[in-house]
Amino acid sequence: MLSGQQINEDGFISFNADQVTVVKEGNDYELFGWLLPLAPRPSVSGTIPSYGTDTEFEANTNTHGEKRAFVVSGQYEDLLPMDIYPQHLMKAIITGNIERMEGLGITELTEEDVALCEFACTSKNPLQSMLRDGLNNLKEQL
Amino acid sequence: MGLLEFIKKIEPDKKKSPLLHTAYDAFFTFAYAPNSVTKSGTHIKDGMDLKRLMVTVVIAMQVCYLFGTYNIGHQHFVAAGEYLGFIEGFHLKLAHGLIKLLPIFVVTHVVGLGIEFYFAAKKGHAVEEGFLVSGALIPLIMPPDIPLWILAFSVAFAVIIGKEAFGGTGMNIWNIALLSRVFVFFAYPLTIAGDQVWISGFEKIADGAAVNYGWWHTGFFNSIFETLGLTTFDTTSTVINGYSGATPLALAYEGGWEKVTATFSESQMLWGAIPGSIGETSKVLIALGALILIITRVASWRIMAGMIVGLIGTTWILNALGSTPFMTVTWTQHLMMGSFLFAMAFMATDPVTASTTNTGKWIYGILIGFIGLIIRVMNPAYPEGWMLAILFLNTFAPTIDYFVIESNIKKRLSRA
Repeated sequence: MLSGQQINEDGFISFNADQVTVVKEGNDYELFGWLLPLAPRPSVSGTIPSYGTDTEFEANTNTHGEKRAFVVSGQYEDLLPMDIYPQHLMKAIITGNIERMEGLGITELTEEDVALCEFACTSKNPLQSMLRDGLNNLKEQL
Repeated sequence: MGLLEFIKKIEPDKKKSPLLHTAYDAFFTFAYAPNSVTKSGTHIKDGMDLKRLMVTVVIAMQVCYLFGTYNIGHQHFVAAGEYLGFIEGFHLKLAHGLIKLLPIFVVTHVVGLGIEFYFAAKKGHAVEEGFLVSGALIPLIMPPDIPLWILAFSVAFAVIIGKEAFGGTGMNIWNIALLSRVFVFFAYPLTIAGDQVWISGFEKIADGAAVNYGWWHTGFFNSIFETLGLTTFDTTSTVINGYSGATPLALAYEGGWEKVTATFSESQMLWGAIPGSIGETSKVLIALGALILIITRVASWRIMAGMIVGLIGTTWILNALGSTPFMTVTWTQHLMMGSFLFAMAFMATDPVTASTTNTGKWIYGILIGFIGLIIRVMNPAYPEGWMLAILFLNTFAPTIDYFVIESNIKKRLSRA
């Protein structure tokens, strides 16, 4: 579930679509959802316990937190197997620094590559759309 | 649910009263995780969020809190010459510790969170969780008798100038808790420097000085203890003769490790029954907190390992030179004194102010170890160097990152 379009119940599927996934909409409030030992949910973090290999995860579309500034460091580098520093790349994209974006390797990436980083992001930053904006920006400037 | 509907009904209007709305929103997101759903990009998000990260650090500190509160009381009674065993007078020591700690804790959070609420209301966004950790750290690094107005000024300084002026959570250059301590250190030095400040509850630390008990001691707690039949606070206690509130570092500066072990045993220093800041004395419990942070991958082990490597390397050099008694102290002995472990586990590993690249974290840690130890051993004016070393390296962390990134860029351009 790393990328894809959200379609309503009465919407249309495009000609190119070849996979439909149905995920539970997580739009309810969870009491102290960020604090307690939780029902099993997908996570790369060490603070959420994994209850053994046989448990079923409950995956829904809840964002589990609001968007914040970049705080945690080293999280993206662990998940991206290339020799790229994604956090600095994202900051270069936000500031629109074309030379730095190229130097940091934006041309080696597409959205799928940072999808795992976006899944794990603690600050809930929309990395894929940031990367797309950066690539569009680069294409316009050149 | 009935409770949730009621809470949603009393939501203040965002336009008419932004401050109230911000306060409401802060408490609401504290109690309930928000219900926002993904619209694009990754449709399933990780269960981890910033609140959980911060709260893990706070939980790792709780054993230090418990021990530190008790130790405030223990040091007070040792200075009076009573209840010298650690467990003797348990109820009195705990009561005294709580009387000293709770006002500091409450003032820190009220001032800090009040400022955060105000700025969040002004900027129109949610209250961000950065203050959870800073607010938990600041009481642990203050002396127990600090006047509350000085504490309020220092927290206000740290949050306004150290954090909000730069843009809020995630944007600060310097560690907020250390900024508050450095403010007290330079603006009101007599409250935080010297031997007298780490023992609480007396007018001054001199032979025969009287205790300073307020209503909470004599009125509130004494009445409870009398009805339970326990011993009570004695308002005629005085400091015993020949007692100086010297911390191990002060003793090491005068006479090296022999002078330290003449007053404190090694197990005392390890477990923490010594004078010092509230949270920094118990090395074993801090190591436990550091272990929690490493196992949950919340703090970076590279920074901690780098600091230890820097400490060991610098101690070897100083041991080889050996011109003052303090320089002959070995690295295992250095680990047992002062606030090295506390600074390593909780202050240096703050992800916002440290280097963000892995190589940078090693360099950052090693330099903190080096500079902090030099300040501790060679400098007669500052007894402990970690606060200054960490703030210094916070200033240079972006520079270290810059050079690591530049080498990455050059490597890429050379293969293009």
